[in-house]
Amino acid sequence: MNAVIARKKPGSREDRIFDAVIFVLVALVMLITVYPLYIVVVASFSAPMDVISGKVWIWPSGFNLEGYKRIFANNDILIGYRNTLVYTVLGTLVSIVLTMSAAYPLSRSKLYGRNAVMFLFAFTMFFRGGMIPTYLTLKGMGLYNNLAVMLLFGALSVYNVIVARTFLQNTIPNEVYEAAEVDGSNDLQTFFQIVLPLSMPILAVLTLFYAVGIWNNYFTGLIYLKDRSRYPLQMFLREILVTQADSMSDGLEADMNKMLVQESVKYGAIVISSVPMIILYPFLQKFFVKGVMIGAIKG
Amino acid sequence: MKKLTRLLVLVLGLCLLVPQAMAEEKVTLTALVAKYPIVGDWNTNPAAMLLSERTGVDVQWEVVADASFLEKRNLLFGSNDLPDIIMRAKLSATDEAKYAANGQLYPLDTLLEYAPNFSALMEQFPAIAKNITSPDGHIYSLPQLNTTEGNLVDKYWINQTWLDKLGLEMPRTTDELTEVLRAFVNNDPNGNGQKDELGFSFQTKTSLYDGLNRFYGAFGMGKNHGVISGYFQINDEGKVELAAATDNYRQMLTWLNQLWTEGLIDKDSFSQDFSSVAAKAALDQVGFTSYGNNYQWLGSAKTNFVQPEIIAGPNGDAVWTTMRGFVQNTGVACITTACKNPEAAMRYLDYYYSEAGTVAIRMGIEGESYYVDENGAYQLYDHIKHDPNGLSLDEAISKYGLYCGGNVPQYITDAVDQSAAQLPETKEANEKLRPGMLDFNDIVNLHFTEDEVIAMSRYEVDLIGYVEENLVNFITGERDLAEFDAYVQELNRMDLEGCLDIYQAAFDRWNAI
Repeated sequence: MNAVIARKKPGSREDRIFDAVIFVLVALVMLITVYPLYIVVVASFSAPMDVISGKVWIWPSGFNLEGYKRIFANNDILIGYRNTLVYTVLGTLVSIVLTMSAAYPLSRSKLYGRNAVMFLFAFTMFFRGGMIPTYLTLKGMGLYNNLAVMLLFGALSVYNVIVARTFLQNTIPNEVYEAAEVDGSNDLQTFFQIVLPLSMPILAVLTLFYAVGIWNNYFTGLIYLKDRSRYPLQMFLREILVTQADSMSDGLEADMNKMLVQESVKYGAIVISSVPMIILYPFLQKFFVKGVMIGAIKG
Repeated sequence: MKKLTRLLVLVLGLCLLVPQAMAEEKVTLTALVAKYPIVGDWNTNPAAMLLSERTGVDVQWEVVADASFLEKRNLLFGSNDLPDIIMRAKLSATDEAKYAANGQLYPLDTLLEYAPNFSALMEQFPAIAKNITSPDGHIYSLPQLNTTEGNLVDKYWINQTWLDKLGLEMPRTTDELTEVLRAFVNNDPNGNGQKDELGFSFQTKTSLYDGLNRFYGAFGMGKNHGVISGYFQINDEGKVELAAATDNYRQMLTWLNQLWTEGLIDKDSFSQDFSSVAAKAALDQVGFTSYGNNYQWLGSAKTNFVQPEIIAGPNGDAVWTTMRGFVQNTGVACITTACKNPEAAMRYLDYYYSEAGTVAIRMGIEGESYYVDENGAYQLYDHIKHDPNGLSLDEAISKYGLYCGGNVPQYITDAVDQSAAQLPETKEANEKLRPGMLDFNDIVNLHFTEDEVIAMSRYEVDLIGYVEENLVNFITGERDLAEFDAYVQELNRMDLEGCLDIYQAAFDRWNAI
């Protein structure tokens, strides 16, 4: 990108040095970001012994699929996958409906008491009830071990409401609303036929934010779900990752081979659970960049 | 005739069954359990169902994975939304003091009449009461008991193949060990022409002292009651002192520092876990290591290693202190004050300690996973030992039993144990340590009051933090051992005295029971 600009507009020497420095820094940051992902993928295909002894750092060594075989033979992972897909799709839908229905009215200056409502929203960003009161409240509402908790708890993120509201305020000029009103559009029609079609970028952003959030969330499941058959994928992933092979403490055999397979399983599980989100990202990326940028510019 | 016999059996059976059914109404309890990954759902596990059936107590298990268990348990205690029983509860002495002070734990000592098996064990082993009694004199949780020595002794291993190759004698003292390590590192025993031998490689992932505490006894530390919390010991006058402030400790550090400076200690030792050591051993780079109660963790490399006899220190001390008491895990199960029927809960948990109960937990179901051979010994079936689908032994038995991951109330004896502790080589290795082993009954497990716990948390960060920081610094030469006295003075400034007082009070209570 920088190179392209440089060719089009040959700037001064300082500009080119500046570009070069930026390029090096960005490349470095990218390396730091991508390498951990890369090494996990590589390690998941490598012989576990080579991984432990530090031989694997660029190329896979000793091709091995034992970890993946174990993962796909593991019923838990498949159940978790199914559950997480359901929670993510439905949860994202619920979240977006809630967010847009909060953000749109708050973006309109004609809403009476807008600042007071906004203050209430913002208040919850800084002050919370704490885990135990929240748990007791939700349990009292009958949400404990109820699938609805996975869709409703934390469904509305105030941060996202603010992003969406700012986007609506800044991209849809008041004249559009006035024109709609003159043409006899009522409030609902305005929202569904004018505002929503103009909000595609922000909808994409919200989808990504919410989908990734729900996909990676294990805490709600941990606290509020009881049946294993309802656990999201992250709960099972956590089991696999956090449980150190401590078969020394009380096991019939503290078998090195078993431990080694477990090592492959860990890497493989990370790959499998991250792939859907990594795939989703490129599809939404162009909206994502545009959407956040536009929402952030004032005026 | 046949018909008559059948009728008779039926009538007899009815006579036996009816009064029992009438006397014992079915009790249903709720329980929270931490699930070890390879053990299935406790609601459907055959051993768990058998235990319920035998005791007439139905249990509705809420099963939470080990990885998330503590958060869940703390939440339930915090919101006082408790089940009747908590199984594999992993209550530390600190947790116990706190929750007992909140009145959330049922004092189990008042229920001992419903626990014939456990009461009998307590009488047989006075160590049990000593190690599970809270400072207020009550018992709030049940332990996992183990009398199989192989499980309780942590060991070190030396590379016999290298000794043979270089024609070296088995080292008997720390000086001889230094010589051997020197030869290991310099004389290329793995024969690849490279100087890649690591000498002494250990892990410190479990705790910093774990790799080194095998040598405490050689330098005269912990010879009365073992080493407590890694750095404390009881001196000959029965007083608690900080072993890490004694001259013996300085001697040990001096020796280790010498090894380090000469390059005889693996430089990764303060950052690696045991799997790294095992990987290095598999590459034939390790001469000496300290981990585990058996050597199965070394994998294919294990055939190179043997357990030496106790390596004596410079003053001839050869005490073996890295042992755990018969009370292998404390705080493994408790009954909460939310329980409406604590008698039934106790009766249920007590059954775990019976031989039949422990066998079910460890070996599963007779006729399905194990059988009793002609000598009356419990034997696992071949399809469990060598699972046709390639499951490991632990995984195969977990389809029937419950013990994997430990922290289950049970009484493990050689008769019901099928672990690596029963292998002939493990038993043989134990015999080599026998002359210097402490008495298992002397191993101390201290309990603190809630106030003590609060006071201790400060010492743990400051004092123990300082000890550990300097342990590494002294060994690696970051800090000169000539400054050891300054280090001790610094410890005194950090109110070592106050810390020792708390330990002393706890130890005095332990002694008094």
